[in-house]
Amino acid sequence: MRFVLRRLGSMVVVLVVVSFLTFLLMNLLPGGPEVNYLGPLYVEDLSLCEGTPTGDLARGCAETIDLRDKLNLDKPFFERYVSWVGNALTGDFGTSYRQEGVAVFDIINEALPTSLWLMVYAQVIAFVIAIPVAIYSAYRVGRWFDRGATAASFGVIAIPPFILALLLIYFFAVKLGWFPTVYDPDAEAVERLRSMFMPAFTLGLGLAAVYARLLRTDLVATLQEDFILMARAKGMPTWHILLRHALRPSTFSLITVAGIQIGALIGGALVVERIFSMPGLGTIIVESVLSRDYQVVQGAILLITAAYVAVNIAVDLVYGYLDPRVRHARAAT
Amino acid sequence: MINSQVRARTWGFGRIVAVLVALTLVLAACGGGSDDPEGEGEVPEDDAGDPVPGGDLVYGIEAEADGINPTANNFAIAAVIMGRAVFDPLAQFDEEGVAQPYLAESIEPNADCTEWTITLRSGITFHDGTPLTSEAIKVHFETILAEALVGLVPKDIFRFDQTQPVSDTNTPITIVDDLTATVAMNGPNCNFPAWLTAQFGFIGSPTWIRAAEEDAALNQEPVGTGPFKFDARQVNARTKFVKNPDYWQEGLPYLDSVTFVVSTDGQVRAQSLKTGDFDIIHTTREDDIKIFRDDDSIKLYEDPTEEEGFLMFNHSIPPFDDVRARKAIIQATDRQQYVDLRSAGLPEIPNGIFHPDSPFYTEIENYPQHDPEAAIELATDYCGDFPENCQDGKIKFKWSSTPSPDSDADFDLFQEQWKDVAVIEKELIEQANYIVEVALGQWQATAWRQFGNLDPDYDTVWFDSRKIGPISINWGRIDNPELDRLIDEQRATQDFEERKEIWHQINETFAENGDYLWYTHSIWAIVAGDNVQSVTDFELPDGSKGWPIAEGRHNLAQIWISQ
Repeated sequence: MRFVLRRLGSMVVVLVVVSFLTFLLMNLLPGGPEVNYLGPLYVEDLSLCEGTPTGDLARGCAETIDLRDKLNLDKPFFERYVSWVGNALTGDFGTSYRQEGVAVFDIINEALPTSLWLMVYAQVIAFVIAIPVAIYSAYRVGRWFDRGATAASFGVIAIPPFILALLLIYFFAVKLGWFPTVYDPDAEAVERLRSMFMPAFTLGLGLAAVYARLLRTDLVATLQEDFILMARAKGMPTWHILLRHALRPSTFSLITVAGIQIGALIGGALVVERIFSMPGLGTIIVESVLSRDYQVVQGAILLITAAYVAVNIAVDLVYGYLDPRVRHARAAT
Repeated sequence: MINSQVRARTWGFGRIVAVLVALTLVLAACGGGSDDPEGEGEVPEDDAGDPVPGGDLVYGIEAEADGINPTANNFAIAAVIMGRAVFDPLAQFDEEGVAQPYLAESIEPNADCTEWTITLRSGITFHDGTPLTSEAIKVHFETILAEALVGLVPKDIFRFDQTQPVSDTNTPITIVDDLTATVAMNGPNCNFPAWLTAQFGFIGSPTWIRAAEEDAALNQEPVGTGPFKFDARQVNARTKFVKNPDYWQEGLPYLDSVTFVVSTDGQVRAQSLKTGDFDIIHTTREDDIKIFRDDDSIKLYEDPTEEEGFLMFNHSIPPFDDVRARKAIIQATDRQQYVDLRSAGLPEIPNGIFHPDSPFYTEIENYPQHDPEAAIELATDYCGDFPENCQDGKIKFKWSSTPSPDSDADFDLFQEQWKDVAVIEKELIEQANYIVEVALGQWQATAWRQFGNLDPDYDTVWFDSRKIGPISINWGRIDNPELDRLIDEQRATQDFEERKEIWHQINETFAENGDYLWYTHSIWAIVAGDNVQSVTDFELPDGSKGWPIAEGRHNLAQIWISQ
């Protein structure tokens, strides 16, 4: 319990640091939401408004001052940050600058399920590919399958997601016609899964390569252990030794990396969601950064950070289940 | 006119028949028949029979719109094409390129075109049940004029006190009766209907516009009189409109729904059309257009009359406040090489703002052509007078652009082409700040895309010296009273041939003064699966033909899907 509380405490620190840095970075970016509202009428340098400006400059000055007041952009940085944090704690992330009047919470809430499903789907695909490949590679270590899987893994890892996406579209959609190129959120459940396959596969394939390499290495080491030798001596079938005795203790690194890879998944989603027209958090973040929609970026990053930290806490907890030594060590402290 | 190609889809029975027909045509041609056996350059003829109601059209669009409220949001191409589904413009261009009443029954000027009377069609209601009355016109224009950014360009053509807020006593709109309103112009303006063919003519429900002023989230849920009603929208993803069963044009629309899906990657958008995930897309990617031209399975509708790509000079500061510096750069530029290397060799090389397919096109013979020797002579002459603006006898200036691979490629190419006349330095400006910096005039030369409106009156703001100020949407700060006079003259006449001649003079003036370095006429292409019919073949309410594609947009009500 103390372990969980300690980790939750560190989660709060991480959230504060990340939210502050996000707020700071968005404010350091050139251009602001004012440009989106006012275009060429935005007067960044308000000293131009001194005296009696005329024509479009007069209008630009008036509109800029009004807008900055309305959006609280005329307040000092720290005051705005504290105000934003205070509101965020009550679940109020403000309203979007770009989609004027629309609550950030609603925007994120609408996009979140798509991204979650995509990440889960990608992870499932990654595990489904990685685990059998790793097991067979470890079983036939140094043989043609192992060498082929190693080469293929490095090849896949080296391909950036957007290139992989285009290749997959070309072969699986254009040439074979197996999957659609566009995600359809309105489709029936099965069809929706089908339309999400290509983006999930794009993300999952890269993960699978990493997982397969990692699990294979751990399995090779595990298969050298005495208890495996003992199992073999007892005449247990190979599949039983591999799946029941070797796999579980070999998944320690895999689970750790799977948690960390959530970050890579989010990064990949920024590109992949846009390519496949998926209305997820990745698409929203990219569009919001480009249009300087600070409020949405901050809300989305905060949510992703919280999710990332939470997943890694969950991973830490799973260690105890996987390895009794960890459980006992925690109990001792 | 529109250059389009229609081809059969697969090697099925239909194509075998088509081959037989083609062979027959070739034999006929040998006997002295058609000289255009492939049908190049013809508008697609939909021979799929009578329109069939029903079907859902999925339209892949290149970008998302901030909102779909013509009085509050900037309507770039995505909003305009979606706006076509839900709104009816007050006017539409006929096949001659002349704006004709559409949602309006009539749009008539007074004797000197300083006031226009708009009379609406009767018996039309908005999707929310609000009747279409002159109140809608008043609310529409007054809301636009009160809006800083949306009203920035049109506000100067209306007569009202711009230093005061728009109100019942400070408005250019007067309601005459239930269906009629007058609009006061800020001087003679005989081409006002052309302004009513897009965003400024998209009339929304006044009930909705007022509600959206209170709750801006409603900008995402447009309410018009158009052929389709708003159904659902997820920003950055898809927006769906469903058939308006009470549409005022009997029998239209044919489709049950239109769904616009944002697909920002042009290559993916093109492939999604091939896979059938999209029924129709638009694109400006020349590489894709080149491929589509040879594709048997789609219909390609090209509109080459769109925006011009050009280098814009800042006329208010050295070195480009001097015509010799501008012309030196223009004559040092090998524009054919630019088009070949940077635009797949597709676009026409312009000498003015009109493509040969534009009704306003005329030959501009005085535009300075590629002449490296003359360019060096001009640069040397200029640098003799202004050595402080030169380096090693070459004109020194900054090329401002947004950071992108495209602008890097442009810079590298031009740096090579101009190496004997100019020393250029790249100045990168973040996209988000680009327009602000350009409006403030903190630049010397920059790549730009603009013009291309079917009726060019709207484009006059970009070179009207009366728009120059600390903030200037006459971006290049072209200060030429002769151009101002020509702007006013073309606006004051309804005689098309006279206007055409005036625009010829405007283009010649640009050329004489080296005001712009024109690179390309952009091409907009609408690409559809071969089961999508009547994409650009629409009629005005009086039964006459409408202009197929203007500024990348086209009508949607007449589109239908064959089996």
